Amino acid sequence: MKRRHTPGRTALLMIVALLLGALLAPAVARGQDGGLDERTREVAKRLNCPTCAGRNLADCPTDTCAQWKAEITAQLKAGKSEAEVTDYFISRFGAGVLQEPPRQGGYLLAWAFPVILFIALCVAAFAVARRALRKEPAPVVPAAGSDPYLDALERDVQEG
Amino acid sequence: MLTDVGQYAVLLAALLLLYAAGASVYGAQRDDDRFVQSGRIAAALAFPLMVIGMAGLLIALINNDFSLRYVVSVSSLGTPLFFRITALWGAQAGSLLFWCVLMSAFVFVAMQRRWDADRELLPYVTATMALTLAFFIVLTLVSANPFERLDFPPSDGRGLNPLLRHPGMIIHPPVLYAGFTGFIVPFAFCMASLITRRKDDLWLRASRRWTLVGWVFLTLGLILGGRWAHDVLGWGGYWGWDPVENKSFVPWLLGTAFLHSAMIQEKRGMFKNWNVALMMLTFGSIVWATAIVRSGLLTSVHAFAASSMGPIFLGFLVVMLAAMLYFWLTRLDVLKSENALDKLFSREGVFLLQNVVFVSAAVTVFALTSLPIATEAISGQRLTVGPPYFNAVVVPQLILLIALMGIAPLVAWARGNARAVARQSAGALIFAFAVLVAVFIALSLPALTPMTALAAALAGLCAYTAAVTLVEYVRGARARMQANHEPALVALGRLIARNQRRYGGYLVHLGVVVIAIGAIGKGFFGSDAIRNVPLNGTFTYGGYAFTYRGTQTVPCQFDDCSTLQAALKVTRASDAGPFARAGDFVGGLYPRVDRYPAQQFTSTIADVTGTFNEEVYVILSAWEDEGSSATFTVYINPMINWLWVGGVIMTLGFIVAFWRAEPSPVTRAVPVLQGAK
Repeated sequence: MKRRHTPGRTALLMIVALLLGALLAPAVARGQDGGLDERTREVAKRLNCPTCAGRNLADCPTDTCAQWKAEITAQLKAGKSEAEVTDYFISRFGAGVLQEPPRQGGYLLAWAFPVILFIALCVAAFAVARRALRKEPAPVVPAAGSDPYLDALERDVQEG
Repeated sequence: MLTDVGQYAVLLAALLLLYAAGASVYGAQRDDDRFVQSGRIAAALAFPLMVIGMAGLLIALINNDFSLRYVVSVSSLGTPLFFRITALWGAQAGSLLFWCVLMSAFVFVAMQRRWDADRELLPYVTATMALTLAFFIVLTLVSANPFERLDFPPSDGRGLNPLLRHPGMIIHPPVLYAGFTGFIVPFAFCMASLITRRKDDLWLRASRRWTLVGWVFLTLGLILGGRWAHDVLGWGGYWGWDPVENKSFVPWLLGTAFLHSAMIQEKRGMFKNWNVALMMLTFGSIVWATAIVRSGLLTSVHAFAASSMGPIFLGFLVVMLAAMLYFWLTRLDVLKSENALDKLFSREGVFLLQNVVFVSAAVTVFALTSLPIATEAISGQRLTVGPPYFNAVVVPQLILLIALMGIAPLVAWARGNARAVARQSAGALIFAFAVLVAVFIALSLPALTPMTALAAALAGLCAYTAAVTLVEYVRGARARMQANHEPALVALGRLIARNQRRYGGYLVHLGVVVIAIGAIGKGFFGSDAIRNVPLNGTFTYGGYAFTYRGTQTVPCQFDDCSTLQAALKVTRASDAGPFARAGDFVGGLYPRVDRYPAQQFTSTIADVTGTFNEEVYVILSAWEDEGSSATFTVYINPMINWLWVGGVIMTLGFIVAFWRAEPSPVTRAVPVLQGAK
């Protein structure tokens, strides 16, 4: 199938794309500093909440989590840095309290696992596909509409 | 009284199913059709009996019969009728019963098939279905009996879990369960085909539409679950990689992989053993999913051991896996490929790679969701990984799938031609590049970071895949227009009608792309902040100005709660960007907090405003001194609505693929119909 991309068509594509781009472009002007609340939230976002499976502490509205958040605020107020507060929670509840597992120790296994798995599956699939590959060249199928005489000749030659 | 009838009906259903399994296999071995037929009828009868059982529980719920432990746990005198009915799946025991009812419905309909061409499979399809369903019914009765009576009935119940009093939660569980249980049909056909040592793809053809039904319910269940989480959990998101979500996602990934690889077998007679394995994995993951959610394994290994459900489930899983493995290994010789692969670069090859990605993603999600369970069992400490981990590890694989979706339609079966693919995708590539540039231009106004550059690249990828998919329709329709001189719309309609599976499938692909665009928008450009504001004060965030107008107590929707509602006026801020004017009114927001004193539960219900393309989602986080000041969490969710639209498009795609799809092999066995044209 032959299709040429004339300048007109390309220009049309560009215009559609630009319109879509404008649609796609969301407001990105964010990030005024909200003070202590905002800093608490930043720390809380990195922690798991004991009462909300999956959601981070900042997004969890339960009472237990409110206490944790109050603890973070109190420690930040006392002059601790964000990292120190996080470390405090790790020392108290273990590394499992972090949303993202640390990239060290046994947790490296959790990070390596998907990569190893993916590569292993690719290798296995490739090996299977290689084995399934046709060893001899595919039989030549005459294209539809070719000369019946030539087809008959071809058959004769192959049977001969 | 009626409740007791219900309980006995359920018990009778289980007994009938055991009989059905025995009679079917016996009849098949003895070649005696009478036993096979009686097994078929017995298996079908389970459905009306289960409905009677469900009706018994429903009557107890509607009448608030507090002598039932289950009714006490999900209903109360103040619970409205509608929620007393949906309380049927409001907790463990009832939802398991409901699950069994749905599964028995699928069994019932499957038993009503004509069973002409595939009669040989019937006894083993019946036996597989009957044993599986019987297991779940026995499990319900033994370890989570919803009909259990209390010796001393209380005068009032505890009421339905407040989180479940939402339309999304009312429809989400039945839909998801239908997705899970629907897969019992293709699974049973698969096992029957293995047991009878069939070489052909009869089981695939016979169960294809059932697979689609299970798949679409699973898809809708996931999307509705996301919608519910978005509306009720007060966190602005839709997908949190939490264990309950993950366990539904794993069967979806495997089932989707199966839908694709089944095509290779149908077209080329290849990958037979792989398809069988994939179907068994899909159904196995469904049982696993149900097991870990229902048995309390998610909260703790100890909860698992404490309930009788855990060991029963474990036993069933082991038996099922052993049976699957046995039949698979002993039938590998009949599952040989009929064809050799001509070229690695072919539709088959791309599908194989796609299967690798699906399975890899599924196994990753499965393993890491099970990690806390495994580590707690071994060391006593639960190690968990959160959403950032899954985003980093699984999302790249999903992105790869979107890329494959844009390549696969262009790669021919058997022998792909890289040059032809490049030629055909030239237009789509130009379009994708243009989108990328456009997003760059739009972004460069405020900030260009590696993350936003990545977002632009992903938007380009989505544009490419969408364009390739759309061009498939255009090319086909144009060919028809030229060949048959049809008007454009007629050509398009007939094109789709001639190959509904193909074009329905492409529509599903488009839906996936739309969802991906929504996920990119929310994931890369979504932001949130927390702000404290005095009465009548204003704060600005994300291009919006929020003016706090006070709080007030309003009547709660239900009579076991009290509601405090805040009012906010939202207008455009001065930094709203080039398309808006400062001061333009956006909307009024009334986020609220519902307190349920009896349940010691507080639910924060967000309110949303904004445009289709950008949602402003606000929750009331705290307030002081009767509302003299209040704290709000604001989430700006760009393009999140694309997710729901994508879900609708996927459903439409399913309808196109399913509706009056090509005749099943049963009807195709009548040759007259084929010769007619």
